Amino acid sequence: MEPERIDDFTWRIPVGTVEGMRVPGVVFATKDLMDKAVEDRAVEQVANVATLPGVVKASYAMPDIHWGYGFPIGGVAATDIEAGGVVSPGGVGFDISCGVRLIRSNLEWDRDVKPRIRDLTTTLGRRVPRGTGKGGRLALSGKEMERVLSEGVGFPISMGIGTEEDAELCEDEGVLDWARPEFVSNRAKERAASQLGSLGAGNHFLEVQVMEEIQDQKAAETMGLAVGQVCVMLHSGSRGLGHQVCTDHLKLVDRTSRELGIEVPDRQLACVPVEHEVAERYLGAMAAAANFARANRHTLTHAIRESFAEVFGVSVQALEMSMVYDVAHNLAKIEEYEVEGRVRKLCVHRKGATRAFGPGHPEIPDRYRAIGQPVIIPGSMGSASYVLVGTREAGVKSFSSTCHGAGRAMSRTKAKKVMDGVELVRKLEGQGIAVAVSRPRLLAEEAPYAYKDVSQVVRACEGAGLSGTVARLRPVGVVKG
Amino acid sequence: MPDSEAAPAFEILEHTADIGLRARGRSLEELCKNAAWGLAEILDVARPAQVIGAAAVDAATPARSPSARSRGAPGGYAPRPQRIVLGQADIEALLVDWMNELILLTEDGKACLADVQVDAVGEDGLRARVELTDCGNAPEGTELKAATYHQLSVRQAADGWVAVVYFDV
Repeated sequence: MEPERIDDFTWRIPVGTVEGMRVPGVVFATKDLMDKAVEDRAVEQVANVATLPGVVKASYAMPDIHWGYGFPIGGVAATDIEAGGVVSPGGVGFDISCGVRLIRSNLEWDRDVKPRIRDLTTTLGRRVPRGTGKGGRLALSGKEMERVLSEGVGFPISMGIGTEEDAELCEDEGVLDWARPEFVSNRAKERAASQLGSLGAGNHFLEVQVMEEIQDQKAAETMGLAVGQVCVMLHSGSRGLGHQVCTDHLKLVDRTSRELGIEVPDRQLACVPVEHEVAERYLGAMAAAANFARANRHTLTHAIRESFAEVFGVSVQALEMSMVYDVAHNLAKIEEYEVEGRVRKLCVHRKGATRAFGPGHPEIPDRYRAIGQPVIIPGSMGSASYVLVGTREAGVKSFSSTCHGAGRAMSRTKAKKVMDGVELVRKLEGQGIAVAVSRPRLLAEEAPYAYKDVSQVVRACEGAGLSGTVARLRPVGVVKG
Repeated sequence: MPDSEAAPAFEILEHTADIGLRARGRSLEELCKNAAWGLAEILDVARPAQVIGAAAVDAATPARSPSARSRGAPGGYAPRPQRIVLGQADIEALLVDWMNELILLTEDGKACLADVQVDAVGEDGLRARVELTDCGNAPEGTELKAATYHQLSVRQAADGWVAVVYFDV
């Protein structure tokens, strides 16, 4: 496969690369990142996505692209609903609305946190349920589960957990009001009944970070960020509920897709027209799972604030631990974009990609509207993380999407062969990073060397015009399942 | 654990972000049984050594895996039989359903797998019996979200059946 170079950060996969492509593929990447994507077979997946019925403009991939299942990770594709455009659960994935949030504080690293970082990391590890065999902070009754699925962060807020401001600073203000809990199976609800407020395993984590460098002073000030400030980054998702929603509906979509005679090059791309009843059921359940994911991160945030208050012996309010923003990675949403001179209603799939609305967009909270939507980019454990902002250009180039992280470069098996988890903990601690991990043996799967260079990914996004860089953070404490 | 001595009954397949499994069997039933043990290996939930006084553990039980031996709690636990019946689907989709059932049964370390018997696999569905047991030491395997349809295949080979399935981590 020979992608065509358009410019330093853009590559085209021509129609015809895979049989049935309706539009070209476009990958935003440096040459180095592009070479990795080709080796990884992820580019073939970009081409596969371009076969989806109703797909418009191009099948896109962000610079953190890597091999996924069905869609590549970093894949973005939009279908024209009026033209029979489809929705594919494989374009959202199993961890529906998995996402990242950044919480700031008024604590300074050198003055306040450096002497207490081990205590703080241990306390976070104790208060934040994580990993196998751990239930969440809240066990939900049947009625409460229905409310979480309908109300998102509104439910924990109604119980006195967190604040209204937390909701305002989430994508969609913390709730998709078109959720349909009645399309979520009992099995999915039972699976997650004790999981609200739990971190999970795999690549989910929370990190205590220090603001190391500001590149966009105006945007940083607007977000309340300053050099030396201590923040917390949290990455988690919809836990067993999202997994089960995807499993249940993928099966139904796969069957319906075959009955409708829709042919796709990979069965995981099974899809149905957005206006089909089966799609309505999937999208309603997906939105409910997204609400669970937001409520999950919201509930975890409460545990994080409590941990800080315990260690520093002051109230949560005194620490000014406000949300910066919460973004989702795995979602399909109905958004409007101009395609061939006409504004159309599209079903935008983002699989391991972040929505990145530019300045002035009405869906951005008022306080951020002048600078663009904040985008939170976690690095690999032990490496830098970033705060970005969306651009207007992304609205034209990538359906307002940018990267979601560093992107994996090495399989889990290989990563474990390079170094065992215990050795990795020692190495991270040698770098001055405190670590709380419930299963050290597994930690090496998520080692920094298993990921691409996040700084290169962020530079490629900026070079392609998809997002602007605001600030860089470095980790000082890592908590993992 | 696998019955077949020739080709490995299962192999773990590498993937950049996720993980895959190739399983083999002389029959579809054996294929599904071996896939179950392959999945248990990934999840670190194979605990055949921990069953006590169970008729299910007899000469027909596959050899204990080294990981199960080393991780088993002394004395073992009483097994909990579980019958699994999956409805009509094509064989590939049935394999995904089977894997997802086992992921759910063992999720969050709530149970480990002591024995697997697959009684029938065909166009009408799958019927199996599994013996669940307490895990003793918490599993330290890769936690899986679900089995996917990505590059999913079940095909007949010269000496039986071969299946490939990938899981989302």
